[in-house]
Formats: sequence, C-alpha cells, structure tokens
Amino acid sequence: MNSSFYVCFEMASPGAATAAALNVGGRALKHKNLLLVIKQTAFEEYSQVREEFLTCPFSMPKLDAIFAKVDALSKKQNRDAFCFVIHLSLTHTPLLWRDILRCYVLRFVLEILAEIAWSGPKGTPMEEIRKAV
Amino acid sequence: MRGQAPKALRWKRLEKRYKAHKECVNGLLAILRRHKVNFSCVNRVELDRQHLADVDLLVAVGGDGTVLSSAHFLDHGTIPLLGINSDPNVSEEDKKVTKKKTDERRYVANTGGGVGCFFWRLYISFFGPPPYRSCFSFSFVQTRSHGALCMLTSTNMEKGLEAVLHGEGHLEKKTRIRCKVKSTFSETRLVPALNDLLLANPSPAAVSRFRMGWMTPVGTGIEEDMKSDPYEIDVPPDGHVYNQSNGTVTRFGGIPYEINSSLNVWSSGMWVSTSVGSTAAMAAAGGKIMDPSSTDLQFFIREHMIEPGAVNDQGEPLRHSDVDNGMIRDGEKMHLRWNSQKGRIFIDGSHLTHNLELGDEILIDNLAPPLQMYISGERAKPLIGIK
Repeated sequence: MNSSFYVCFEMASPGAATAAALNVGGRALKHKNLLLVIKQTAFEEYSQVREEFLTCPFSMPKLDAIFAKVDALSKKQNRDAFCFVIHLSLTHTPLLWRDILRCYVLRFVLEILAEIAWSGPKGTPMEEIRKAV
Repeated sequence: MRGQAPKALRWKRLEKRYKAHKECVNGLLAILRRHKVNFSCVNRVELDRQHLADVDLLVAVGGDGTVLSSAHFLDHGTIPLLGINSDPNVSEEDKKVTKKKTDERRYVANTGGGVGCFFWRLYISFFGPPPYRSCFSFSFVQTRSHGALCMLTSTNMEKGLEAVLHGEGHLEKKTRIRCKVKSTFSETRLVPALNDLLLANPSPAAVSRFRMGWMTPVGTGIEEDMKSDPYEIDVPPDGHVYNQSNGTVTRFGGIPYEINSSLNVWSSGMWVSTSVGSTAAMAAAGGKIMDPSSTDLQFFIREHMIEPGAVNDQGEPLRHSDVDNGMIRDGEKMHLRWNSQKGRIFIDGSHLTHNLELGDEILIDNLAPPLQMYISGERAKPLIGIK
C-alpha cells in the first residue's frame, strides 16, 4: 500500500474508513450511492415503435395498439402522429403533415399495409379492412 | 411548410445523436465502475421518488431538460444534483447558425424514389405542389441542449466526475421558485421550479387576465415563523393577534395576508424566473440576465396591454418600463388572482403544467428549498445573440 492510502485512511472518519469508502486512488469518496437519470433519446423511442410496426403481423387490434403508442409518443414529442406513422414505414419519405392530410393519407397507408399483409393465402376482404380503418 | 418533413425526424441525425449519447453513458458507467461507486440507472421518464431512497448524488445524463426534470423530484433540496451534457456542441460547425442554400426537403422530394416518392406524388395529386415561398431556409444547427445546467460534458467528465465523487466539485445552492395555487376547495403546492414559470392562457392567442399584487402578512413575526419550515406548512404563531388591514385580505396556509399595490393586467401571460433561468426564456422574452448567485426572482409580463389613461397609485401614467419587468426580492411575495376562464402554469418548460380556473389565487416567492447543484465555472452563459 502506498502512503497516500494510509494518510487517507487515518483522516477518514471511522464510519467512512471502509473498503467501500476508499477508492482505488486511496481518497475517501464523498458520494457512494449514485442514481443516474438517463435521457431516452428520440431515436430510441422511435426505434422501439418502429420495430414493432415493421414486425407487426398486421392484425387490426395490433395495429390499433401500435397507433395508440405512436399517438402517445408523438404527443409527447409535440409532433404530428401522422408524420411519424409515415416515417416509420418509409424512412426517407418526404413526410406529409398537418391534420388535414391525416385522415386521407393515414387511411390510405393503412389500407395499403393491410392489403399487403392480407393479400396472402388467407385473403381477407378489403371491405372489412376499410370498415375497420 | 405544409408537405415538408419535420427536420427532427431525420433518421440519420437522430441516430448520430443517439450514438453520441450512448457513448457518453457507457463512458460514465465505466468511470463509476473504476471508482467502485454504487450506482443504479433509471430512465428519465421512469424516475420516481422511490428511486431516491439512500441516494447521496443524483446524476442527470442528457441535457438541460434532464437536469430540470430530475430537479423536480429533489423538492427537499437535500440530495445534490450533477448534470452531464451527453451530446455537447463540440465542433465549430455545431455552434454555427447557418443559412442553407438549398432546401433539403425539396431535394429529397425531387430526387427520392421508391415508395417514398410514391407518397410524395400522391400528395401532389391530392393537393397540388406545396407552397414553397422560398428555396432558402434557415437551419439552426444547434439543436442540441445548451447544457447551461450541466457542470460536465461527455468530453470532460473523466476528471470532473472524479473530483465530484471526492467532494471537490463546486456545490452551490440554487434558488427555486415556490408557487402555491389556491382554488375554491384546495391549496396546491407546485414542484419547485429551477428555471422559470410561465403563467398564461393555454391558447397563445388568448388574452390572459389577472390581478397582480404584493402580499404582506397581516401582523408581525409571521415571516420569521414561516422561515422555520417555509415549504411545508405556513404555521401562524400561537395566539398571535393580527393587525387590522385596510385592503384586500387573502389566506395561504391559514395565514392572512394583505394584498397591496395591485394592478389589473391584460396580457399574454407572465414569466417568472430564477437567476439560473434568466438566461433562457426570460432573456429571450426581453427580461434581464441576472447574477447567477442572486436569490431574487424576476417577472416579466408578456405583451402587456395598458389602456390609455391608466394611472398608478400615485396618479401617474402607467408605463411599460415601470410595471412589465421587475424583481421579487427576498421576503417579497407576489400574488395573482387569475381572472380568465382558463389558465395554465408551465413549470420549467412545457412538460409539467398545472391548470388554473377563474378566481384561482397564486402565491409566488423564492422560499422553495434551494437545490444543491454542482456548477462549472462558466455556468449559464447567455444564448447566442442575447446581450
């Protein structure tokens, strides 16, 4: 042990002179229990939902659940949910926004997605999807 | 701007910033492990009071927003706070405000292909070409946090954190704003604000009407008594006989106060800031930048509409320079009576709010428990362009 360790050990109060109170440099720690509050970046938040969106089996309840999340997220971020939805599906799309577009294009996007997803062997009629959307 | 991409959603840029943040967090964890410090991590949005048990230092890793939201949980001011800016403006390019020569979004729209282009064409077929007013757009590159409340950044945290852990950092007590709202049946104590409060109508276009005055306790000795426990309950002294008052009297925490020098205000609301927050929205609104060590609060009435012929208590014409901007000094208490149907108090930004109703009374002073905060030498530099 080096001398600095001894000096510090002697100067520290009895309660603090424990292994936990002394770090590798031999100095007493003032703060021993830390809480780190870490920002979640927009990228992380978006990535989570994006992942869900892209791996979603396109059942309407699941889509609803995802869009609810998207809505909540975009409200939190003060951005239009619609922009985000488009962004999720098309990374480099020139994004369209404003509420006036929302009803038109969001429906359209959903219909396209539903069509892609449901045009497989199962073949759910588009009319049902339209009703749901 | 219709039909154009919100810039914040550009994926590559978000990803770059995420990587910088992640790198900082990983570096921080490595430093803490090297120093054999006990620590736990919590996401900013999941922070709760239960996380604070046995904690002797709170480290906010992010930017000023993370520091402010963390500070809201430290309402007793006993746990010190250290801010680390995880993604600072380090390059000269980051610090510049530039004027772009081309509009990136138009470029993307014209050159993009695939499904994205399909949607763009769909938009144009629905609504026609977007109304570009100019091919030029200003780009404010400095979208990162200013980091005024962060003592350390990802670039200097190695040495700085070591100093803080060993008690060598510069720990300062920062004044915070105490705000109480008295409604018909309740009195609500808001979380202490480190930066500022904005009291305004929820609609930015609507007029905020309120009566602003100053409160003095009816009787003597009450102030001293309040100082013993200023943030919990305003306990009146036992058996104290209050003086007779001549003006309007209101009660907060059971203590009667007389309201003096009151003024009816029609405006877009009011900012109240601490010295720490005076470099932020307050300065942008036209307020003064205060000495960082000041314990005073500053108020600023936004877009105050003074009627022609309005006079003050002395019968002199009311001037903006006399009433719009001023200080709430030690021992002073501002009183507001909210006279609009709706109102809202925004605490340190837009995330934390409290709704106001017609007739609510608001007490504002600097008696919230101060926040213990690690501060760097060059703290709270004014924003670009603000003198």
